[in-house]
Amino acid sequence: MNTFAEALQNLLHIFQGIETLINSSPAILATRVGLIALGVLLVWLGKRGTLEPLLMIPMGFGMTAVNAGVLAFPGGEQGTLFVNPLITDPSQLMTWLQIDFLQPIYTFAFSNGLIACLVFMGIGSLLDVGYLLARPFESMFLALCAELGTIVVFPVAIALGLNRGDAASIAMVGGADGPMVLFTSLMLSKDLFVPITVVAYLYLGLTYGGYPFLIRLLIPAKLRAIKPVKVKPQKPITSGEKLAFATISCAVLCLLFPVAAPLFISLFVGVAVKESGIKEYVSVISGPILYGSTFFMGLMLGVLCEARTVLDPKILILLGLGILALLLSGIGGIAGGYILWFFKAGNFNPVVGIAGVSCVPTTAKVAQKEVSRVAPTVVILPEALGANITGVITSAVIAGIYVTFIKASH
Amino acid sequence: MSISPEVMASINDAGIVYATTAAVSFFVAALIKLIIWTVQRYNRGGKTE
Repeated sequence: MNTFAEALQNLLHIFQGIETLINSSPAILATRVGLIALGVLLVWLGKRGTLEPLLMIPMGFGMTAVNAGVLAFPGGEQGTLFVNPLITDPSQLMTWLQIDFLQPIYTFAFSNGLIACLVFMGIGSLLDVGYLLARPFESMFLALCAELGTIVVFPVAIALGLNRGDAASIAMVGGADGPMVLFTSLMLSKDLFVPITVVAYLYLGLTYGGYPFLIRLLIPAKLRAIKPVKVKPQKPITSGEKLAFATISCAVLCLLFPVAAPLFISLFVGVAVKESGIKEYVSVISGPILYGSTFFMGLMLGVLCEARTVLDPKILILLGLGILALLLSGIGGIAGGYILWFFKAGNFNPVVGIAGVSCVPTTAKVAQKEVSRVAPTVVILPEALGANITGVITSAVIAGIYVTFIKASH
Repeated sequence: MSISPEVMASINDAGIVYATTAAVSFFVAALIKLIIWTVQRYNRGGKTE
């Protein structure tokens, strides 16, 4: 009998992932198994298109692999060969840079927010700010209304026991901009940035599925079918005007919020490169840089979802607050649409409002799709993209204010 | 049930954050109008319509 137990023990020494699973506490065991299953589910939902495949497939893979591949280090401590996000000592870091294969990317590109800025640069190179320049006040108003969740969730999170940094970071989910949530939580919530960012990205996928129901619930079909009449013809916006806007706005916003300057320069340099017509830069930034960064961001977020890291009692609160933030922002955007509809004496489609939630271009596409369902000839996409692009800038401004405000009060 | 001073302070902070964002947003919108007006005027060689 003893020989059999010894043989089994020796066998388990070979299959260390199983050995560490068996030797874990019940909570860690259940979380590891749950996260392996969740990773597989994310890959499947990404393949089906229910969630964003560009991010969910690497994230799901990372989540599954990191929770399966736990081994015992000499000394008995459990760990992985992926990444160690908790190192603060520089000499220890030098050791781990040579052990964990993703540690160089985490240390030199993720934990300092570089990867979020690279994604932002890529987004900038794809944006056409002409939609915003054509109607700046209208777009800004809608984007402001669609930040309702970002504002309201902050005190709610404080009331539920989160500290100010964690509260501001989870409130940023209401801005529906993944890189922005990552940037803010890296600055303000070092302990909870992994669950907050994962919650943000999981929920952003849900905007595509959930917001159509919100639109149908809050806006009757008759109003969704409104075809706005153009009062005066719109002058085309030239690339020179767009370039001037990107340059001056970047300088002004960096001057106002130096703490968010990396975000502003990343976004506006992307816009500037596009509008300058430098095709070589555009193809690099909107191709390898954007997709490379998105891939590694997804993979990194996945491998950071280790059982020990996510086993935090605050996770349930974060899950609730994340969905509340997105819901309130959607409602705020629609309320903004209604306000403009009222002040323009009915010559405005209130569905445009939800596009103020800055999940580019998802919410604009959702708004157009919902209008097309009831009125196939009505086109609201230009107005929706204007609000949508403005939402990105407004979210970056709010991120800058939260970071400045909270860092100053510490 | 009363609201704790910490929550009251955070409501106050959220109001300040929103008001500042609104002010900056409308300032940027006004800046856009100014940029477009200036560029169009420059393109017309300083002549007004």
